[in-house]
Amino acid sequence: MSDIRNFLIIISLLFLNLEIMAQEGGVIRGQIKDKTTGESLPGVNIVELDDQNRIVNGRPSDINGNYVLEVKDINHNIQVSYLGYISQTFKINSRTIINIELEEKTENIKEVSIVAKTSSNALTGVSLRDQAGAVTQVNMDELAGLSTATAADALQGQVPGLDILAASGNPGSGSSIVIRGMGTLGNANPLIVVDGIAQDIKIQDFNFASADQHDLGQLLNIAPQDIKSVTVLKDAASTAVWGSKGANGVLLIETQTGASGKIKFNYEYKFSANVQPPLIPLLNGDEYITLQLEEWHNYAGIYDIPKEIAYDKNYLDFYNYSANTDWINEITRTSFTHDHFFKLSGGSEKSRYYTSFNYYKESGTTTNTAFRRFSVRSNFDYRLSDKLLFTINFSYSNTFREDNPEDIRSMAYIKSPNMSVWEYNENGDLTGEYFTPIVSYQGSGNTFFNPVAISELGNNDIKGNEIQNNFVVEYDVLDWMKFQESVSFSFINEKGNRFIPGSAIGADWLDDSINVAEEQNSMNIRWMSRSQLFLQPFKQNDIHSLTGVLMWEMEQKEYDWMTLFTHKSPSSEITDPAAGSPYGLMRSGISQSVLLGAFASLNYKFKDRYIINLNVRSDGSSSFGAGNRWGIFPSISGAWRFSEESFMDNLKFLNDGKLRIAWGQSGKGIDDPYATFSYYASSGQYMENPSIIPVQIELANLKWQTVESWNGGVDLGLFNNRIYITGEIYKQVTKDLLWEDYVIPGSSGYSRLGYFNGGQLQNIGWEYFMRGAVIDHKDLKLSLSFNISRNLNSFLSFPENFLTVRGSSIGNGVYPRKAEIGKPIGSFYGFRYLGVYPTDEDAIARNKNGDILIDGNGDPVYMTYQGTYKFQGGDAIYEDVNYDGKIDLMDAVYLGDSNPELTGGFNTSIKYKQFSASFDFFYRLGYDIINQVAIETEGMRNKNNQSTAVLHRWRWYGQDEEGLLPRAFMNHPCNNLGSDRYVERGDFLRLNNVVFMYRLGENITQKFHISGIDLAINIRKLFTITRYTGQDPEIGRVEKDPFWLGLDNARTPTPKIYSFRILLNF
Amino acid sequence: MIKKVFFWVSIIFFFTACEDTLVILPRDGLVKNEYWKLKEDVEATLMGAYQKFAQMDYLLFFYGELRGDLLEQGGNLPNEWRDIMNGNIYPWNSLTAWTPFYSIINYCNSVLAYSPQVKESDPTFTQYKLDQYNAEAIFLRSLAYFYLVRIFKDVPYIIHPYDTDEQDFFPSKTEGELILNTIKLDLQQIIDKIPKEHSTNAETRGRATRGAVNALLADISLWTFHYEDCIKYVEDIEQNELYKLLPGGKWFNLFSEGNTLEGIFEFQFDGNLGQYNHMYNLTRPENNYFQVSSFGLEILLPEISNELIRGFGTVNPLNEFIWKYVGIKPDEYSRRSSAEQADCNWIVYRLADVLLMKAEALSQLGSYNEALIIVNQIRDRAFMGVVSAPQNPQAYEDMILMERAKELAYEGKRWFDLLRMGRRNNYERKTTLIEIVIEKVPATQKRVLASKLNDPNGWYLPINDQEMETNVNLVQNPYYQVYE
Repeated sequence: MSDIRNFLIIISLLFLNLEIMAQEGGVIRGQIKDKTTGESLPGVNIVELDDQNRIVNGRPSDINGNYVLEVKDINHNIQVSYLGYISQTFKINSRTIINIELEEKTENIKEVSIVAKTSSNALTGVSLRDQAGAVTQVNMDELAGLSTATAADALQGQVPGLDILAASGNPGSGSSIVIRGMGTLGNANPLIVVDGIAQDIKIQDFNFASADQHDLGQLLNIAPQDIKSVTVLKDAASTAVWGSKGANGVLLIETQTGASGKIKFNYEYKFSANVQPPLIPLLNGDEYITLQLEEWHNYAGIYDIPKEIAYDKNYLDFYNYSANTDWINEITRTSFTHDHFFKLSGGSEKSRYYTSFNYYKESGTTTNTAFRRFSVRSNFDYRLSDKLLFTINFSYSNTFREDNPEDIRSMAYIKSPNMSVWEYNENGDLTGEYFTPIVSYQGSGNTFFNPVAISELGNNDIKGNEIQNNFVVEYDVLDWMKFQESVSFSFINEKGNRFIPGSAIGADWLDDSINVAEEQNSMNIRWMSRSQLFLQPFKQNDIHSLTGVLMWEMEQKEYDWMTLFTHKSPSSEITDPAAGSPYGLMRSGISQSVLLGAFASLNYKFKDRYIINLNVRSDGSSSFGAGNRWGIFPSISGAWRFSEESFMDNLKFLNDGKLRIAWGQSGKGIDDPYATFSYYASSGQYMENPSIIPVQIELANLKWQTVESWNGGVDLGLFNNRIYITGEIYKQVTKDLLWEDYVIPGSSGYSRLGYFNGGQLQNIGWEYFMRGAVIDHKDLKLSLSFNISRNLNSFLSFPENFLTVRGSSIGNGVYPRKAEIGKPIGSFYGFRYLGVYPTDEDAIARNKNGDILIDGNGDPVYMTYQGTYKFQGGDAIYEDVNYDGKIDLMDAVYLGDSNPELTGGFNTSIKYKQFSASFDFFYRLGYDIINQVAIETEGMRNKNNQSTAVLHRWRWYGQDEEGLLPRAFMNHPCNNLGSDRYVERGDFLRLNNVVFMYRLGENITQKFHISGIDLAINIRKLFTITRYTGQDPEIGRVEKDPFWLGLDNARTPTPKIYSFRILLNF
Repeated sequence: MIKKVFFWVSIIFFFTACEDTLVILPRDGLVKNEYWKLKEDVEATLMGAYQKFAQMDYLLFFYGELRGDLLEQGGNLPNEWRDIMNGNIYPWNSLTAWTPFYSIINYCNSVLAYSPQVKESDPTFTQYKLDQYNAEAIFLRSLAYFYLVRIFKDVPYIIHPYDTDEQDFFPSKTEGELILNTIKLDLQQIIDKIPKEHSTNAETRGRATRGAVNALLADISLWTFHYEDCIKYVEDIEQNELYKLLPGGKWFNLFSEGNTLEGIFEFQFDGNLGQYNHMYNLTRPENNYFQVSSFGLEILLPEISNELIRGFGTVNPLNEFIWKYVGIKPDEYSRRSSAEQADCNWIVYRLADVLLMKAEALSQLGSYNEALIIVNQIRDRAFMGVVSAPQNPQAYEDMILMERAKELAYEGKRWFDLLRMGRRNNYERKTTLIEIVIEKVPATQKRVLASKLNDPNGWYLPINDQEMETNVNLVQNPYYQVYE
């Protein structure tokens, strides 16, 4: 905190300094009139300015246009300004009566730049044009009209090297963003910076039921309409200034500011309908019962048929088990979104203001899911004098996310369709209750709950409040030196509530799962201060330009949390865990951390052609142990603007051409502030004695993970800059790779180290981006853009004693996961599926040459699963890779990985007079998905409901058809092994956004006294071209696990959104 | 003006650049440097070791019963447990992970390593208390190693605590025989330092005492076939007035109440304190994980075996499920409920157990009559008739084994009893062991399992593959090397 205090002292000193310059004063008076009409003007501002153009005094004119001003110093200037008129500034020159005539402005006031020469985004003071690293800027005006909840959705497919996936189609579930491949294990999301303030607060995952990620909650809290531009920093040389926080890349978000001139009001409303892609067709109740009977028959021959599927009219629950329920359909709906956005902005020559209010309300396509956001953003800057600029940014957001307490979608896929949603009595009359038996045919009512009941009666809500303030003072100390101090403060509070009433699940009233109530509270507080000194020691001229920056920053974070858990409250109406329920669990915690950073940069430009940029960033983190706290990360980049060379003059079509090369290092620390301590914690008690046990090993060796990156690029502007091309090639090597939960021998008494450094990971790739204004007439404009990027990810080395196998077990639906040198993160292994044995005799083992294997007695050897189960007709065939007649772990082969080879998008926009249209395509190619939904719904080995694909299954001895599925067999040990049967290519091309917009003509708008009306229709995800058979190939990504599999696990697919938008300008 | 700015900027640099800014200690936990200051710290970690061991009740049950012949597979038995029961044992089965035992060993090692320094800083920490805590830690550590050696044969022997990543995490194995000899010496040294009893009856039965150390020593001696030693240690227990056989009518109080006069060492559970065992859930009939094997029914079902006391207490004749951890009375109906539902103690040693150990030792030394007296003492307590004396060692061995099966069924003893028999006299009765064990597996598995058990190395579990892969210094146990 000490530097914040010091900063305040400095600020007050600055003010003091300015105050002592006042000298002798006097009084002036006069009248103010319109120059053309001669009418007197009331309310005109007359201000006295000192020699630094700082306002020292001022008053407005009265109703007759008269004014009297007591000036402090007769040598000062007087400025007269009035909205819509050209303002005047003049010396008093010992006059006492000054009459003024103001001239009306004929055209709208153009934006007057009063912000500093360097915007807050460019902490290095280098303009985008002179950047030598890999940087892409997207102007959000280009994306206007899109109906997206967050900026991340709007950016999908727009920036090469930026891979964005929606975490789920549930409202408010956020996105996962990866820049240039997974360069790190664990969270690979980039740093998000809003108006110069890093938003690296870790959001606790509150979603109890699903595996959705909410790490990018920061983006959820910003209305996309507030965003002016997004700049993506990809390589170490560009992210250098952000230090360790930016090691995964940086998204710089600049929000809108006001413009000098008349006050402007703007109101926008969007209405959207969200529709899910076609559902996977499932068996109805009758088909399901037939399948179940077949499973039992194949497993156990003549079998005592369970009464639930026996069609026994005398069975008390007959009506409850003879339905044809489409569970998935029951929990899926078409939902609607309302989005109101109101902003006002304006400014004078001294100040600018921008304020917006947003109310966004989205309901999800899964029942009982919704997201609401109310947000306010206010940006204000005021020039206190020519040398002193003061800026305040304020934002507040209130979010509410509603979800289901259990994963109802996965349950709906497998729930028996012969079960009724509502309960019938033995006479076939509805009782008005949900049908939630304690034990159903499928098993315990706790596990196999009624998804409709859970959705309707349970809740799982998260409320969030976020406030962020940012104060910046800029002072021009000298012509060549500027000082800037920023102080920011942010506060995030989240509260999660989850409740499952006993009436929604099938359980005995004394069961622990009755009336389960959970509450989680968390509070994130952060202070940040940054001092910067911009240096420009030489006057800028055409030949030399030398600039530099020195920066020092400090960040403190605190995270407090509390969890309450109770069950068996006496009534389903008591949903609050604190309301006296009998059993409880309480946990709370607090963590604090400090990050220090110093940065120095030097930029030299010669003749606007040769650019060189040197950066050094040093980071100190409290999360590391003594001796390892500081990391130093240098970077260097250079660019050659060859288009300025004289020998290029002949190439008339080339307007701008730049070659760039950059090298840099960046470091990544850990999120956990106390991971390095040898730690003891209470573990309860033994008898009545408290017990405390060691829970964590001291990490004395833990250090920064370093990413070393090379980047080469070329930028071309052709044909009057109508065509813009940029290409990049890069290589990034991550050294001292940080492993989270690193497995160590259990003989230590621990199974894992919190973190461990070791091994190397490499990402190499290229990116290409092109934008062209094909037609550029006054009335007709057509522009095209295209981008593509390729990334190759591979492990270069592992630490010693490294556990390469994660999950070596095989079995139904299980994929062994392994890490191999040369293979990417997220590789998975399994069996090769070859179809179905038509008969028992076909399951004969053969050697490499195709000859039948013979055992010691001369009998042929039959294929077995792990030597225990003998394959029979109707069973799945797996390739016996090692020809030993046994299908076991040795036959598992590499099946694929979930990293895309090519990603990108292309865009067309057309503008004809007042009509415009744009089409955004997004594609992602060369990655594999494990279709978990298919594993669950095509296995035919348990009591789960199955998809209609299983209707084409092996049913009679000798049946041999193309694409036949194996036989139905209850508890089959190996018919559903993790194999390539469920591995599908995820490749897709999607029309991500279509926008049609019409701007109403002035003749119409003037009737309503409105300066403009825009009408737009937007369709999101209109169609997807893919061979993937699941609902949506855009599967979520779980960054936390380095051995993550691209698993399609029945999360809500991202919906199609049809929306209508109206925008009114006043 | 400029000078002032520079002055203050440099001040900021000066103050915040201090390394101290980056030192932040956790506020909601204890770091090692702040721990190990008071005697209460030593006791708390010792209690952590007891608690951890108690929470392993289900593992002690698994290791002692899964491969034995008293259990049969229930319909809902998870595959990993089923594989162990069928003898389909692979290094990737999670039951082959030994980490829980080593956690306890690590807690005990921490107590032993840091208690001397606590004595320096805490003047109220007497030498007597220090010796007592250390002795308890050695007892628990020895018990953990005794289990490890019986399950895996050779295991890493670690007697220092792990607390920093600068330590060597990659020990190699030490021979099981050597470990047993070492812990036996350790235990002999602490026997005079450990209290005979603690302040309350529950603590006396729930914490290490002289009786518990003697029982463990007797068990180790019997396992290593040092029969005289075994008899000596059991005699010390017999002379201890704290331990008495319960009368037959109160036999079930061993489980329903716990901490009876017969209990020597029991891991304690108290539902009212939120301490629940795993055994209730594991053996309640609704879950249908396990059923009583046909052999179990044969010896314990009241109608068949006439074992009214042990039969009604051990299995429920109504649905033929294990009743020791589920029932509150030795009848068919009275189930444990509410807070008491899952707080049956896990009995490690009780008097009947050590007496039968002595009988086994005596019979092996040829003192058949003395052994028979003990067996009949146990039978008499169960209201069973006196057995006559078979006059050959093997028949004696079988008789005692049978008596142990009846008396100690489902208390995590059976598999180790069988192994003791199978290992005795250079695997003299290996085939008997095989015959007994294959009895309970499905017909298709019998031949496979018999051939597996033919190699005594297959009687031990493999080292978990995760352990193998993370520690290059380990060699897989002989029988399982094909999986590497």
